Amino acid sequence: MKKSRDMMSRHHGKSAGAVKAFLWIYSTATFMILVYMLYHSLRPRQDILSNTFGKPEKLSLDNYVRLIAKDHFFRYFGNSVMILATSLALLVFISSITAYGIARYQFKGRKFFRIYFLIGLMFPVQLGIVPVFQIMKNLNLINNPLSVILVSAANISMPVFMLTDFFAGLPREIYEASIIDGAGEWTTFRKIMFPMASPIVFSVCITVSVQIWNQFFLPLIFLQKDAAKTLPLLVVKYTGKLINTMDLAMAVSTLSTIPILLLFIIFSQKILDGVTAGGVKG
Amino acid sequence: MKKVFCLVISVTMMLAMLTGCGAKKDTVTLTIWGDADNQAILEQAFTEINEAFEKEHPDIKLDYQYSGTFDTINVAVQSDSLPDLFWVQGNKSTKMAELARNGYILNLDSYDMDSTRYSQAAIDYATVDGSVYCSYPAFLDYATIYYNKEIFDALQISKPSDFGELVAAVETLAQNGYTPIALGGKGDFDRYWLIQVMAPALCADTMEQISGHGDVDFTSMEKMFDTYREWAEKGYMGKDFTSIDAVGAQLAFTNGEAGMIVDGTWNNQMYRELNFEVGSFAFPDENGTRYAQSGESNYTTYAVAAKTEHPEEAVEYLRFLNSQQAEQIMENYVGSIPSVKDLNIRDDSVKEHSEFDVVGANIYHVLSGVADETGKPQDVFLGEVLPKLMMSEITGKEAVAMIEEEMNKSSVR
Amino acid sequence: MIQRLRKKPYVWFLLPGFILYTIFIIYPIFAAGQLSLYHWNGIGDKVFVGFQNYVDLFTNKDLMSQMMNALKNSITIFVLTVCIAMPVQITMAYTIYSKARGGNYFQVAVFSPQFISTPVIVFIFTLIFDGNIGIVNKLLEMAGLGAFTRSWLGIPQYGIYIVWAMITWAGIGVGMMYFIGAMKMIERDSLESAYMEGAGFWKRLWYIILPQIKMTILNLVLVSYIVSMTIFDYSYILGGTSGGINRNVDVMSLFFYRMAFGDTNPLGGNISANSMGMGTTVACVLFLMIFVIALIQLLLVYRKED
Repeated sequence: MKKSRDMMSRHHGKSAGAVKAFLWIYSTATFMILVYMLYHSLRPRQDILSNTFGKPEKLSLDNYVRLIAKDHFFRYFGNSVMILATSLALLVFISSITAYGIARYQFKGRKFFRIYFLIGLMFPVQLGIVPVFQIMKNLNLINNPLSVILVSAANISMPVFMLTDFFAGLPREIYEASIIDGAGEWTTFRKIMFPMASPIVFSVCITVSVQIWNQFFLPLIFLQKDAAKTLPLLVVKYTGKLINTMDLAMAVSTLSTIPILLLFIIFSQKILDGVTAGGVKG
Repeated sequence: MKKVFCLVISVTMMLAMLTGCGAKKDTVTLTIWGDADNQAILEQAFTEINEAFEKEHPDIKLDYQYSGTFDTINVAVQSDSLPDLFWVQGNKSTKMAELARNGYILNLDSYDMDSTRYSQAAIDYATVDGSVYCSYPAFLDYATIYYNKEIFDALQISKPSDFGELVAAVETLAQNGYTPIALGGKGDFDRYWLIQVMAPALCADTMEQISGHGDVDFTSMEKMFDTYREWAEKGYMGKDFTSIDAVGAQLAFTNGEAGMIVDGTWNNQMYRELNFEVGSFAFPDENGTRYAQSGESNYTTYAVAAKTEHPEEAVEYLRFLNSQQAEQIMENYVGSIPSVKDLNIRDDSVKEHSEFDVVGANIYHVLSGVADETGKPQDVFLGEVLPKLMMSEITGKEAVAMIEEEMNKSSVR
Repeated sequence: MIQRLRKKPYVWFLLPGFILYTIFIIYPIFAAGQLSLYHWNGIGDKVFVGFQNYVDLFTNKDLMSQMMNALKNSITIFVLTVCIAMPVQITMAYTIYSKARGGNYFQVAVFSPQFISTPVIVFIFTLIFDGNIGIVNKLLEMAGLGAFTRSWLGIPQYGIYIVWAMITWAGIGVGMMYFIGAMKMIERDSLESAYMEGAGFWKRLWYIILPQIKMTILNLVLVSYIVSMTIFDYSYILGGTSGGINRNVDVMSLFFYRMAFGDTNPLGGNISANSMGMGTTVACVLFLMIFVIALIQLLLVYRKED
């Protein structure tokens, strides 16, 4: 492992150096934009308004105090975390078994299923929401996070689409060896095939969690009580009439970005190191 | 498999936990959907209004949620799950009329709402086909001109009292390197506000004729369009204003780079907080008559769902919204311009907003008033006429012709 | 029955996803799709009109020109994404994958705009690029280049490119994450032997990596197509419901939005008598445009497979 890392990081050449320099500049610029947001979130509104570019009179945590003390920031945050964790677990589980089912087995209608599971990306959610709302109403799930969780977890188009090819690309011999060893289909999937796909599953996890974390429309429709609402609904309270509440908009964006960014840093470390490094034909 | 089983169990348990609570009480609970878009502005006022209401009516509990958006109300209508009360826009859009005609909201005629304190415009706002459907609006909103007092003092410009003085002020500001009137040209409504304030002062006759469904003489409207184009060409709205949005224009003004800005009275609060003094004036015509534009505020206008189980209690809430007490609370927090006479105006800046002589017509409403499915002059006006004028692609004459052509397509006239 | 299903293990793998997805995603689409056969404003009575909405959409000159303009802009976004953003994503992913120093930092920074809501992103961009108070212009002025100051975000003739640039800045990390994942799946041995044989940084990318992530590239091309046909919020925030001056930032899903919900605005506005009918009609046409392309790509790519 160590050897391969050394190999990978050496001998990149001059043009590779240019790419790296570009990445440094680009990343730093992006990072500065985030810092700029953080900086504005520490300024009082009046200062941002009348002295946008100038030196700030003072920086303070007032906006944050207000969000946490008066707006129950942590309640929204907790709701969001709960919905994210549950939907993500369900979604990753369901989409990997679905993708595996399509990829691993030969049966009539495989092509149909590939396109069938892609349809979800092709139609605006706003239009289809009323029938779903009816279902949730009949299940008595309005104002219950489960409504958002179920619909988010059902939205498996993108993960299934991206995962199928990887499961199809996993070496067949390993699968067959495992079956011959007497392991069942399920055990083979869970113990052998799924772990082999974990790098790409991690990528899927991260992109999907951002989607779930940011989703606005589903919670808006299903969660009609303050106690159940999620972070994006609090964010939109301050971004809706931005000029009146820009300070709080900046603060709430910062507050809702940092935790998931930290989570991402931890996760991405894992991806970089590779949970299972290689050993697989693409 | 065990893990999956555990997951299923825990999800079920969570479901049971979440739905299990909610014991019954003797009091009636009303669910109300407030205006989600304006939550940050209205929150304090409604907290106090609702507390006052519950104190007065111990047997009614309010479940007031900022869940009223166009989307949620649409979904609720189509799935038959409207809350007991929700905010409506009255006659500002055709939506409340549609809801009323299709039996989604309660006809309030038999509940005897007290209309004596309200103006005719406010009563019209709440009325569909002769029947009342929502609480009466007590406040006005209109687009006005804010100006930077420090810049005006430094250049020895006084608050313009007629159109001639306004033009002179604009020219002085331009000569001294300031943007005379900051305006966002990018969004369809950003670029619209200036025309809304100009219209009643400069082309009231044309608008009246359009509303009257008779023959229309477009001369004064053409002249107004030419003025708009001329101001754009001379850079009075700022360098590159076509590529600046409303926030950009507002920031130009709040940073002291512009002498004036066209903005709504609803943003009064924000301008009061700046570190320089801001004044305002309603747009004057050549004789010095100052015009607001008609536009009732929907901050206190709510309708009752027809299917509510507690119509009496829900109407009681509407009555409370129409009480002097609730309206005064709203005034104290939000500082809107009251259209009822018995409120104490919060401060001088609001008082300044109520210094107008005439409530003129709102040009957008005038045009949408003669629209139907095939001819939509308001859309042509917003989406094509104004941007093309602004970019000097058409003259006032051509602009008027475009609007007239679209009006002729409509069967309303 | 159970015996027979035992021989078809894929049924068990597919079933949970199939059920959940069909109930919550597919069924609503079909339920909504049939609204395109009605004349309806979302509130009043529905009147069945058959395919009249489709006829109206394709025969009304104004609607057609709006749709063609929106389509042109959406395709522009797609082409720019595939031709410019995707090679950049692959290069970024490859650099990070090659354990370049700072890789983790790149990954987090490049991906981070994903976490910020669109209105805030647009506002921050205003603070940076605005004509009056933007940093970029202040810097230009300081550098004595005052003549070049612009309101960068709104130059009408570049509208759609600005929209694309913002979409790309915010979303470039997503494709990059997938490429990194795909590269992680590549067998290390082949790379090592290539290295031993003296293949340089770019050669390894070109000859070893790219062929092995071919599927991911093709899939993401299709996804980019779908995204450019359905992306909405930047155009909406930058240009409003009407899609900007002369509809310069209009895109397909904004056109859909305008048809279905567009008449609600700060001044109220009138709801069209057929907003829902025409809205779903546009959505269905949009759906077909995406579906047909997706079908073609999938059939072409997977022809060899079976």
